[in-house]
Amino acid sequence: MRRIYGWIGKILSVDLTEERIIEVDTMKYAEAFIGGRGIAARIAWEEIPPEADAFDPENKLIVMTGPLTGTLAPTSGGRITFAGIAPQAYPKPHYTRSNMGGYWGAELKYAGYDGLIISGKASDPVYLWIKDGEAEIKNGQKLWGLDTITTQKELLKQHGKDCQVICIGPAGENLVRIATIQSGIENAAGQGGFGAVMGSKNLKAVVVKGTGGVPIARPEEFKEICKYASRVVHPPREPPENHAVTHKVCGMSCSTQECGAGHAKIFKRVKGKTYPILYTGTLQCASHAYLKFKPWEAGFEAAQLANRYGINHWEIVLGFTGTGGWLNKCVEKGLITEKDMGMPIDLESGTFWSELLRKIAYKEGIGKIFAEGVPRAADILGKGHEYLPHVAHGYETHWDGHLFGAPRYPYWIVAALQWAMDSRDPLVHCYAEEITYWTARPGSPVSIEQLKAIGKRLYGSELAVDPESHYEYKAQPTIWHQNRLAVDDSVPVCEEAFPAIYSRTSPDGFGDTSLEAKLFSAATGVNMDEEELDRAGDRIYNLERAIMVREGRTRSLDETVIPYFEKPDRAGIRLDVEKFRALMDEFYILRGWDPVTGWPKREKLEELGLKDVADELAKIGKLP
Amino acid sequence: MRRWIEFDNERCIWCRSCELICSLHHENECNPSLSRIRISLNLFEAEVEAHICRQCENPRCLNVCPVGAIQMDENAGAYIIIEDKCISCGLCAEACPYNADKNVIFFNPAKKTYVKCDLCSGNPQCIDICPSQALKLSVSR
Repeated sequence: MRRIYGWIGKILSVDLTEERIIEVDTMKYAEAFIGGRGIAARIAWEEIPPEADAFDPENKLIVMTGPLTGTLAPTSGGRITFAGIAPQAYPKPHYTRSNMGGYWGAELKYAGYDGLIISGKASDPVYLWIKDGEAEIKNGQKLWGLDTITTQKELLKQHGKDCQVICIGPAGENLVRIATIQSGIENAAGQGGFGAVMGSKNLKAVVVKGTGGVPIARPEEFKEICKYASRVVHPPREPPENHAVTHKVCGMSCSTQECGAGHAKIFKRVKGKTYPILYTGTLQCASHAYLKFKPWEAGFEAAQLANRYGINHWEIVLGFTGTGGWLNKCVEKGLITEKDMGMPIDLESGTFWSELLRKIAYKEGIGKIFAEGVPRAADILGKGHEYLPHVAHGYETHWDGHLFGAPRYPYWIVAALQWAMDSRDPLVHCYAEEITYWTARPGSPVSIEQLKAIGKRLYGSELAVDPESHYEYKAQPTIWHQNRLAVDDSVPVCEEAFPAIYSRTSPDGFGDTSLEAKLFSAATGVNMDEEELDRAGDRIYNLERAIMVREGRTRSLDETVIPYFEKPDRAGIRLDVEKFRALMDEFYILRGWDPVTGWPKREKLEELGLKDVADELAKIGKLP
Repeated sequence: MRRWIEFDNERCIWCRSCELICSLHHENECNPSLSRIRISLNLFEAEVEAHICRQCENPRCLNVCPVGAIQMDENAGAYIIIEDKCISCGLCAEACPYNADKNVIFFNPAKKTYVKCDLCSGNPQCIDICPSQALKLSVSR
């Protein structure tokens, strides 16, 4: 047998009902679907019944690393994808994925596995203990009810301080639809509500320890590409001397300094205001909104309690409060009162949020309704729909040009198209945030002229990025980024840092979009250039579409994003619905999908090597 | 001239790239358990420490080695284990006062020898990759 590099070669499949553990060969999926999100989609297509509810034992929680996980590749270290039928999805649960950084994914590979497939339901609370090629289902009764930090500390006490743990808190146990899977002090699989999927399976935690490694096919070359990549991928905006003390990375092997000191801050031993505990933790990105509560220590405590209960920060600080401000607006307009809430309302108070989070985690009073997530809460209460910060599919605003104020028109058209087609909030960092948002600001990394040159080179036309353009040439960048994001989630690398479409240091402003292919090839010894890897991304994206189609996705569901974008953006510009529908037509045709149904055509699926998928869709009458 | 690596725990940003590049450089795989620099990260207390050979002025490991396998690499300024000479007796690992967790000098089962930091023949890879200058090379007078 040929020696395997990059991948480990085995996936652990655990049936909690039957208490049966078997090993599955990774390599039967690896060539076509790479790893992470790609392999997860293939397993989901083969193994998850489309009619399963998120909380049915038939749903599976698929946890997949990629060939670069656990390696030096910048940002790949602990990176991992969780996938399955997601309870947060709206109007009904559907398949999607959620990523996590941290250290756990790397440890899983060092322990001998590329991933886990968790199915069934344990009769009593359990946890999984995986060490160097051996796995065991263990009694988790004593852990049930504990918060995520206490759970991890207990497990480290038992299995050694060098273990890595993923686990759920009370929110996951209580099937809160916005429950996370947590690891360490800040890492989480947030979107999707996969914490509740673990809870529904009575699985409290997975503890891993490994002393193995990830063999690299061409070590010397790989090392040099890693060094080069961490220089090219958005080199620091400020001298690193200003960084180090408060800024810590969110995951292993992140040597890029992509997220600056303002993005992530660590706090040590902050005194709680609700509970007499000292809290140590990190605030990343949007969770800084907690610090606006008063006093700030109480806000920080609320953020840490969300981690401990295992509740999705994004839904809290972009949905309930903060940018989205749904609860704030509902209270301001008198739609939701203290009587509805069953508690005094003080939206600026940290202790108010601590108490509300507790009610959500334990489904107490109003918490029982909010535990369903904002869109379902509005349905149950029968009010507040007009203030929903949710774009579509059950997910709240994310770089869509409206509630953030960025990116500006016409760039949010690409975000709208990505939103239309996805099963969750699309990660639109690269196009919507990086090139089109930053380039419009002082201190921009590239000039408008350089940006246009990048547009022409990558997407085929300057119009794709021209600030004076409208709906023309917006399907091409959408497709380019959809395919590339599927690659980046599969090899995997961090989507905040990759792809490197621009560079602050190169003379023409162009970055190096072949970095992923270079890293992948040197690590695995499987030589794929940028084009071949993007083709794999196309395959993964189409396979995910097939999963969605099998679940009932149609063009009319894609169009559910339209009302959100019809609202005025910060400059007062609204979506031109007619032009957007025409753009959707163009998108479907470019993708090889039928514009009437939004379903992929046989030719397209066969071209990507997905004949069996086309056959299956034909059998159920969902091939156009 | 003797050289050694110093670690600044305040500057460390917890990426553990040093462990990954060390094992990649020496063992052709990314494997923290084979790294000659080890990062102990206690996330819950936000504390980090590094374990790595200090290149002692009067190294006990060298003094106890029965076969003279530990020698000064003048180019790197480091005491290194000559793998061909090592008989895997483990006396060096026991003698080292900083090796309580067996991660400064330790047995590499694939090589069947003991290993420790050799300053990469004068070009320490961990210092090269560290994005926050938490590692630096010190030189004795």
